[in-house]
Order: sequence, then structure tokens, then C-alpha cells
Amino acid sequence: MSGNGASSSSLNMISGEDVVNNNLTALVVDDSPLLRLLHDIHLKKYGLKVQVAENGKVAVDLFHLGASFDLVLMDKEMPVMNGVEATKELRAMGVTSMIVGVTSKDGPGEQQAFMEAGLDYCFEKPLTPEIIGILLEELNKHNKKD
Amino acid sequence: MAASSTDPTQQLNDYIRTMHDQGILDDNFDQLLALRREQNPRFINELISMFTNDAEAYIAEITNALSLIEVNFSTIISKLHQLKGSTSGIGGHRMYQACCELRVAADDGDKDRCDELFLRVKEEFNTLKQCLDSISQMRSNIISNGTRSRRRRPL
Repeated sequence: MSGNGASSSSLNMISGEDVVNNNLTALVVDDSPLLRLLHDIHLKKYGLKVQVAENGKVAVDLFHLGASFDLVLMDKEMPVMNGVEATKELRAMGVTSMIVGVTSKDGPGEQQAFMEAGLDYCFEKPLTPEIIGILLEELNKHNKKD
Repeated sequence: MAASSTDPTQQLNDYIRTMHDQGILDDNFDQLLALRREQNPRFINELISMFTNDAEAYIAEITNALSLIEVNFSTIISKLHQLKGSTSGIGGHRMYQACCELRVAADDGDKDRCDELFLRVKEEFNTLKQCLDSISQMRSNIISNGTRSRRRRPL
């Protein structure tokens, strides 16, 4: 999958209620402790193994150390290294994880710049359980094709 | 038996609906309530406490940044971003809107406008905090009453 301006409308709107997967891993990258916690809980509800990182540099360093994740939730604005820079760096490293941007209510231009960094999807924060379920459906379909 | 207006759970639901009607809370708060079924009963109260503590810290840092002779707009923007994120996570709709307006003023480097809008952010935070404290208290009472009822149940 590559970043192409995808939003919720371009996803197959299948209910994610039955998507409980004990094999998927996720990385939540956000400088807000509360949002890290919320996304962590939502993802664990679907059976994912979750790690968290408080900024883009921590996330990139994890990949440099050999970690891999099926799904990365990437906040856009973070100290040290923001989501745009981190996403570019991860894609330059050859990371093929599904990277989903999470942003505040920015203008469409700002979301587009984030998408062009290499995101697969971009949504407003916080992600709802429904959106997470749909993303996992897409991830499962993608993994089955491999 | 139908819930009456003296039923604590109904009172809590009515209160939350009122907060929605006034624009103080939005759907993100309802998402948190949906989480409570999987987490411990005090999870929501802990989350509210976490939000309040974090928000007070961010507001203090923004206050400091605004009080400098050379206003530190980058600090304001950074802390405001974190405050916005936490506020959207807890579902504080009006406070989130106030933060968005302050962000525009900070991006413009307009100190006077920042001062004015920051006052509104603090007012909305106080309103939201009172609302969340009330919800916490009502939920604590419901949980306590539920615990006492279970203890009275015959073996």
C-alpha cells in the first residue's frame, strides 16, 4: 500500500467487530500520554500487541534496532522528530508497515503533506474503535495476499 | 422496572446528555464510556484525573511562555498541541475549539490575541473540569452503591 490521499471514504466499510487478531503488532507514536493510552487500549481490545513511542525519533530508533510492526499510528506534530519526518525516514529505510497518520483538525493541505510523506491513511485523532477495526480488516487482507 | 429521575445511573446519563447539548462534551467522551466495560470500573475516573493533571501542567507552561518579555510562541504552540490532543481524547468539545482558536493566534505571533484567547481556554477548562469532576463523583457513588449491594446479597 502506498500513501495516495486515502481517507475513511476509500476504505471498505466492513464492521471490524469480529477482527480479533493475536498475531498483529502495533506501534503508537504520539507525544500525548492520554492519546497513547487510549489508542493502546483500543488496539489491545482487538488482540494486538502494542508498543508506544513518545516521538518520531523513538519510533525510528525502534526500527533501526530491528523492531517491526504491522501497524504504526503516527501523530503528526511531535517534539524532537515529527510524524512527517519520521514517516519519510521509515519509508526511506524500506519499512512497509501500514502507517496511519493521526492529526488534529488541520486543513486539507496539511493532511496532504503528511500523506505525501508515505502514509497509507490519515485520520483525525482520536481514532475510533470502528476506524481501527476497519484498518485491521485492511491489514489482514493485505497480509493474506503476501 | 423503569429508571426514575432519582436513579443515579439515569441521573448520570441525563447529566452527560446535558453536557453534550451545551457542547461541553462530544462523541469522543462517549467512546471512553464504551471502554469501561472492558476496563476496571474506575478506569474512566482515572482517565479524567490523568487529563486534568496533564491539562493543568500544559496550561501552567503556556502561562509561563506568555508571561515572558520575549513571548516564546514555539513553546506555546508545542504545549497547546499537547493540550489539544488530550482535550480531544477526553471529548472536551468547547475547550478543543478554544485551543484551536488560540493556535491560530500563536501561529500569527499575536500576543494580545493570545492573551485574550488563552483566557477563554482557561475558562473552558474550568467548565470542563467541573463537568468531569461531577461525572467522576456520580460514577464513584454508583460504583460504591453497586459494591454495597453485592455485599448485601445473600449467599
